[in-house]
Amino acid sequence: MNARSGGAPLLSVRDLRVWFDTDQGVARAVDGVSFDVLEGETLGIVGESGCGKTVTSLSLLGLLPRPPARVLDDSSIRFRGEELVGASARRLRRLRGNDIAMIFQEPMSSLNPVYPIGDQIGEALRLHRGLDRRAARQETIRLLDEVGIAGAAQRVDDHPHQLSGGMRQRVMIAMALSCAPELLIADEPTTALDVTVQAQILELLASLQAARSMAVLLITHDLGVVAEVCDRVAVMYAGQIVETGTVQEIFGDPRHPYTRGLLDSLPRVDDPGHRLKPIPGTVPPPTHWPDGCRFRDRCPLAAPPCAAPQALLDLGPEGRAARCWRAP
Amino acid sequence: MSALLSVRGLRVEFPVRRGAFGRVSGTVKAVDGVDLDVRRSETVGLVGESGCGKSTTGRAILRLVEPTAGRVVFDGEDVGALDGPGLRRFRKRAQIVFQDPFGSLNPRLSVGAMLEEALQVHGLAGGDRRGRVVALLERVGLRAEHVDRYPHEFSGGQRQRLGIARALSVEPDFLVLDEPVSALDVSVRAQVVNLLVDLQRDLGLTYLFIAHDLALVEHLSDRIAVMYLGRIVELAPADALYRHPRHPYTRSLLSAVPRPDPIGRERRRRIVLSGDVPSPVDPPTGCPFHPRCPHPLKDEECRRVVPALAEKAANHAAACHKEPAERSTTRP
Repeated sequence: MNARSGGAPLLSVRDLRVWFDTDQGVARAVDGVSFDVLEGETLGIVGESGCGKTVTSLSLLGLLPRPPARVLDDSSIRFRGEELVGASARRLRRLRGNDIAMIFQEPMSSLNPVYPIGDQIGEALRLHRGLDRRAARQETIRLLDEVGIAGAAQRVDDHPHQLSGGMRQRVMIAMALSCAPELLIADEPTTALDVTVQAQILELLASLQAARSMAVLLITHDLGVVAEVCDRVAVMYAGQIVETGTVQEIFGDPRHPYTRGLLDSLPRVDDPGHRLKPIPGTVPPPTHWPDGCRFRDRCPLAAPPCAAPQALLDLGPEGRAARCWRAP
Repeated sequence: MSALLSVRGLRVEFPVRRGAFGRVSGTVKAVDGVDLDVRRSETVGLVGESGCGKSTTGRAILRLVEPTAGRVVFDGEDVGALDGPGLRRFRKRAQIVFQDPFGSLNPRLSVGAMLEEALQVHGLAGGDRRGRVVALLERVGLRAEHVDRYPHEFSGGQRQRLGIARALSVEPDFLVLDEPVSALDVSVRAQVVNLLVDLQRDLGLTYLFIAHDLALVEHLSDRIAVMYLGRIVELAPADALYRHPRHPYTRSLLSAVPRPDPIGRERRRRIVLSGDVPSPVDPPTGCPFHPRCPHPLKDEECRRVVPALAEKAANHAAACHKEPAERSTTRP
């Protein structure tokens, strides 16, 4: 919420292509994605399942198994100016945790069930910050307290199964924060949680971000969550970014028909009983993106110019853009 | 309008087993005394967070799980007293659509075989069974050529259409919709929601719509029941519940829903509850919500006495000791 405009971006992704070799052919899961994350801001990447948002986030830290994944040669991921595509495994390991941390949808699968949570956070502190056992335990308790776990001094010895879903996500956040990262990648961090617990976690993330002036890259399918917490938004469809803008621009003045379609699909609290306007059809499989505009088959405004591939057209300052010839 | 379905004092308890011999060490009161009427052709939304008992309530009404206590009356008939043939007659009139369409469709049956089986079981096997199946598919927005395909060949939204077709195949009056669109992407979700609206209008169906998505529940429901730890804590017409919630849990639930409105986000006052939903194995004494309740008047009564669902305004009931009733209302 305190984006500093100007200055070099913290993270700069250019023309990222991540393809998968599958039995059905080449799946172009991420197909030419470019965006920046500025210091201290929250950028949301939003889209439906299969749009490539999670593959984008995993590829940033080299977390995709290769093969089957391939990051194409012209792709560039720069963090503080340093190129990460092609960086050594050792270098990426050092960045993960120290400078860039990540939390996932399902904290249970990211925690080791047989060790107390304190040991797991402590391990990160000893490896990345070189603390001894005693100091690591102290710091772990402080972190658990910071993420709002009551009775942190006792909870530190709990095993993951003894915690609720919301508490586990707090533990994951504590672990992510342990090395004071400059960028937190949060991939559907509240999707598995109930709405009252989701509100707690979103509030926690916002307050931690403000206190630590950390940038957040939020990956989500939930437009409500985007509207609540993001500064800027990138909407993805079929492996590409189709629209970018500030959160106010995306929700108040959507320029791409897909963005408009997503917003029209939502029930509106101020007008219950109005008929929803769904987007017809379904997302095509990533092995068979349509030629030209990839949204063309589902678009109510499709016309002959849509048969040509669409470029992301600049619509204004500070990264306002849409991938539609009608948008300007 | 008369009630098609009337539920009184419904309870469902599950034994909690521990250790190698499965010794029963306690009970989970999944549903703890639910009273609810559903009128003909209306949609009642049943909303709450995971573990509140909303799905178990839906299943107990259809006797897919056996209630521990209480009475379910469907169109004048006591469902609890039904035996084999009676129960089959009831199930022909009352059907269910599940959240995960893939988990509830037999992967080895073609769509045609699956739907024909339902017709046969319920003695609807008249001459033109194939024709009926095709008509059913078209009714839910699929095509005749889908008849010979298998569930894995369909997308998520199409599978949910199949789940709806399966439920409709026996021409029921009443559907329990158990999170029918929760697994679907937002653009496809709207397609299925519109289908449910159209089917209700065209076929005069009655719905019990179970969901955790409050915006969607408001969109689809005439009346809404909010559940917390096995009990209904508020019951009201949809617009009244949203405009003037009268239970502190409903208020915090509504304020926690993320709204697709970035302009209003700074102005909005959010009540963030502390803690998680308590375990139904060991529920709090008194009002089940009291440990998390932000109500300024919360006191000893809340900790000791379970509040009854009482009318606070016309057609608007809430289970809260501290929420005043409007003067003009008469107690039922």
